[in-house]
Amino acid sequence: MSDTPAMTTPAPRQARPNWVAALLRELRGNLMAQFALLVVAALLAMVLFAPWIAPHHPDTFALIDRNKPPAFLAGGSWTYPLGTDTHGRDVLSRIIFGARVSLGTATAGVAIAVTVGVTLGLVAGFFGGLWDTLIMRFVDVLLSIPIILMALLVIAILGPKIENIILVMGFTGWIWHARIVRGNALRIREEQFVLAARSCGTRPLAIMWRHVLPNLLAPVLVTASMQIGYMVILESGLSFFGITGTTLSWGWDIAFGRRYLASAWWVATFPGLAIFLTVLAFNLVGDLLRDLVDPHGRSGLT
Amino acid sequence: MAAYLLRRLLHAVIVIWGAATLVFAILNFAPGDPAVNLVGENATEEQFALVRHSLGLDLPMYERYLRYLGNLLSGDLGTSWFVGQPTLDMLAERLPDTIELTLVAALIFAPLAVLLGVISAVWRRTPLDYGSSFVALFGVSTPNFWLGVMLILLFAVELRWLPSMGRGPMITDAVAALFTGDTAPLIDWARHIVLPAATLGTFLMALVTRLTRTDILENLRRPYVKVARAKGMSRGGVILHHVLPNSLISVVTFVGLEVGSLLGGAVVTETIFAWPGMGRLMVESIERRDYPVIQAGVLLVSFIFVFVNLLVDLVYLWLDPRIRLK
Repeated sequence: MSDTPAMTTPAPRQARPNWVAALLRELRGNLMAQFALLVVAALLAMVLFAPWIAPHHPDTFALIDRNKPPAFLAGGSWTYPLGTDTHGRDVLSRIIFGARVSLGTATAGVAIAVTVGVTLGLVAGFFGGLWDTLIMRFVDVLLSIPIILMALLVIAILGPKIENIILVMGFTGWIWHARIVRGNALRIREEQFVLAARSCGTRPLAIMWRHVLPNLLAPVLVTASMQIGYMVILESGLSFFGITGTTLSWGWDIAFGRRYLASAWWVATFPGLAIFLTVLAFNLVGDLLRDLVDPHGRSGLT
Repeated sequence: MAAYLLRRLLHAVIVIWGAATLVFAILNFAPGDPAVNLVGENATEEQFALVRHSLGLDLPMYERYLRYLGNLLSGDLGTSWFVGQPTLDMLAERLPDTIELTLVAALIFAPLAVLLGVISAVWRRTPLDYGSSFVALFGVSTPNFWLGVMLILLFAVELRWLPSMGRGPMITDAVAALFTGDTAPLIDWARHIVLPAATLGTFLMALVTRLTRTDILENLRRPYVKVARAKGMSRGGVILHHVLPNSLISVVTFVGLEVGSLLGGAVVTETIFAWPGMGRLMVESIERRDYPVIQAGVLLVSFIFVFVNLLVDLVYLWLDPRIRLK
């Protein structure tokens, strides 16, 4: 998520000044991408300024105002734009504060996943041999266990805490990046500039850092953006089971609202809509990034 | 070919062994003593030691690991701490329901997705394409538990067309009744399974739609399409007879790889719809910290994943002359 603002601010002089221009060109006429960036900006604002934006405290019980419908329905008022739940808590405020948990967890998890995945992927692709076999077999093992089951297992043992959720996300999500980085590293390894660097006596670590890594940035960014969406879904799924150690997140609200579907459908509906928009936005940003860095690739077809 | 088969089998065994080791490591190197959960906080030192001994927790780690592997090899996946039943029996009792739900979801939504993908590719950049792309984007962006809740809200709470939970008669009974001319059980079965299957299948449908579209567009640029067109074959004919079979190979591989996420999705779906499958057993076991059941369940899922993908590979072996004749 922190990638987006970095891309809209002017790039340093020597580092490809055409990025901003390319982004603007890509955005023009691409309504979906504009919408996605808008959603991401709104989410960022919610995460950073939740206490100032939210009309109410997310945990304040207002028992007089229980089960108020959203403002656009009969009986609703703009005091509670999206209605209240059975304890009179404001649905909108809970969504705004919930963004901190849902997005924060997902972003932290993806950060670990990227770090571990890029490192192991580089090692596997660049050194090959036994390293490659070991790491890729480990990837196969993790691939065979659904992430949600792995998460349930680990949390059952380590306990329902946000830190543990982040840990699980990181240590299951890295295989996405490792596979992509390995594939690319295998290709880049054979490129002329790497051979040239090697013939100059550059040490492998330096080659990896200076020549291979920069070429991997684009595909990793694309995957990371989409993975944030995926992790938001995972986090909400886990809080749906009530095992994230917090009662203030989108998934928890859906699980809570599920019990009151017949009397107050909005409690479960709007947090889900928030998840949907968030994941959609991060998927679209991923598409946008891919089009930016690889205009002639697969995406060029569509 | 024998060498290929052997290598593939060896790989499957290694992955399952790896999964077993990983699960063992997670359970055994984790902080805290599982025996505390069993005997409770107020147990005496002797009771505690007795439980530890009966679970084999007083043995050195490597011996526990070897024992565990030995038990696995002889098909013993442990006994539930809570129910006292062998975990394998408990899982086997619930597994058919999960497989039924997963199969129905995949068999309805994967073909539908291929259809959407073909439509999308053939009528590229038309409203039809945008429509299917939207369906695909919606599918990947929606948490399936929320989708399930929304389906219940619409079809069970508001419209009252479908039941919101539980399962109907067994499919075998329903089909048997069909032969005696009684369609009611089959309809009842379908009414119960349609919402959970839709909840579970939407994600798969979204991914397969995208995949089919890209794959067909990519294939359309290949020389063989040009040759077929030059020989006078219609565009529709080329897609139906040449491109689609090629794309189906990617689709089948992909669905094989998604078996894991389908089974993972089943955990959530079964919880929402009170579907009596393995996923619910897993969630219940996690709630009561019944480690042997969790452990066996994770292993079983891993095993199914590896087995299905092995099967997919074998089907290729049989389909693809380039591999078969080597």
